[in-house]
Amino acid sequence: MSAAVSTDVGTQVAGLYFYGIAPPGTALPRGLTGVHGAPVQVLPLGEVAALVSDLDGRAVVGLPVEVRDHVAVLDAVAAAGPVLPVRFGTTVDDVDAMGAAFPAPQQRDHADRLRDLADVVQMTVRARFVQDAVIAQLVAEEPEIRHLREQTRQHLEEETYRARIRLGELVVAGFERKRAEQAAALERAAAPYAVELRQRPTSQVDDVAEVAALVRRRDTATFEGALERYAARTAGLVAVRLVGPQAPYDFVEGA
Amino acid sequence: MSAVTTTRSGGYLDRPSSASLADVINIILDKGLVIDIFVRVSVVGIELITIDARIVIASVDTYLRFAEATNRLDLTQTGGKDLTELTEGMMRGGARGKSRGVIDSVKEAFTGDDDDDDDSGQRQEEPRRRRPARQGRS
Repeated sequence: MSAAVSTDVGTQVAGLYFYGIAPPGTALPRGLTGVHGAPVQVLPLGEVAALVSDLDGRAVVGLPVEVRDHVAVLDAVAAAGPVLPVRFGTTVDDVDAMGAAFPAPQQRDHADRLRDLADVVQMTVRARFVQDAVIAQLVAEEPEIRHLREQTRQHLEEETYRARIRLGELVVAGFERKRAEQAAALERAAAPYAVELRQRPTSQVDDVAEVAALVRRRDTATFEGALERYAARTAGLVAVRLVGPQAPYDFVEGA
Repeated sequence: MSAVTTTRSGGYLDRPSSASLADVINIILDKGLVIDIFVRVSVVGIELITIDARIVIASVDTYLRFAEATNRLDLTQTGGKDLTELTEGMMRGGARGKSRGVIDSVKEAFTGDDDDDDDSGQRQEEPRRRRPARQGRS
């Protein structure tokens, strides 16, 4: 049955863009539009429903605007009720193909997960170091960094290449040590008000942490308050950003 | 029920009313249900950019970038009496930096001219400012 639904932009154009799975009775916000401005529809699939919009022959190629549309639809639905996000960029040929993709056991699994998530939303926290503040601390705390800094400042770049690399290496290692401390503090601040926390892998030297939290709808303000207090405590050293309520992107299995 | 999305609290927490592309980049890369028999469409280019950004951390380029940031840092701007004392031998000028100084120097040093090698797409939308409200406290 895979041939009926698989899609390749180059050779064949899918009919529907697929955002996520929601309970069959899901009421969409009035006028909700998605990718390419098309109206979002609730397509019943037995125990669940698919959130889709017509592609009208146009491809989805991964443009920023398409990413925003995908996320905006899911977050708008999540603001009022549960939704299981489908991976960005998923398309399907037509309504029949969609039906074939969801046999009864799978419908039941998704319906169960939707019930689990009925009362929660995702809140995503991103904490980053204020680079200069951390570097200033490291210069103050570590004699070798201080020494290398003075040495490399007073000489030409070409003459101090190795010293510069060593300096950068020490500074990057300093960020790593401080990251462990701060990430733990952030988790302590957020955990009491969340049902579940998941750490995302960080990728940049100045990242402290990126944490996805599953928070009960009635607790979102309390959760925000806890992060506000953490942000106040670390002001000047760590910049904390909170996004949400969102769909539970980090809490559906990615397979 | 979702009034939280449009309100800003306190002043220390950066609380955007909607997610930026940087906020959602991880979502599109590897989050969400994968329906077996569907094929994902053309997100390959985006994945490659991010993989590059992850690899670049432990590289000479990164070390040199942070060495440069460390050298460029004006310690008189970064507050803290201890720090000023430690560095007064090579610095001129007094300890005028309090935490506002940190903010200003961050703005000067890091707005617009770095991060161009590895993650500009991911980072450029993020505001590097803090909320004005915090100045009352410093």
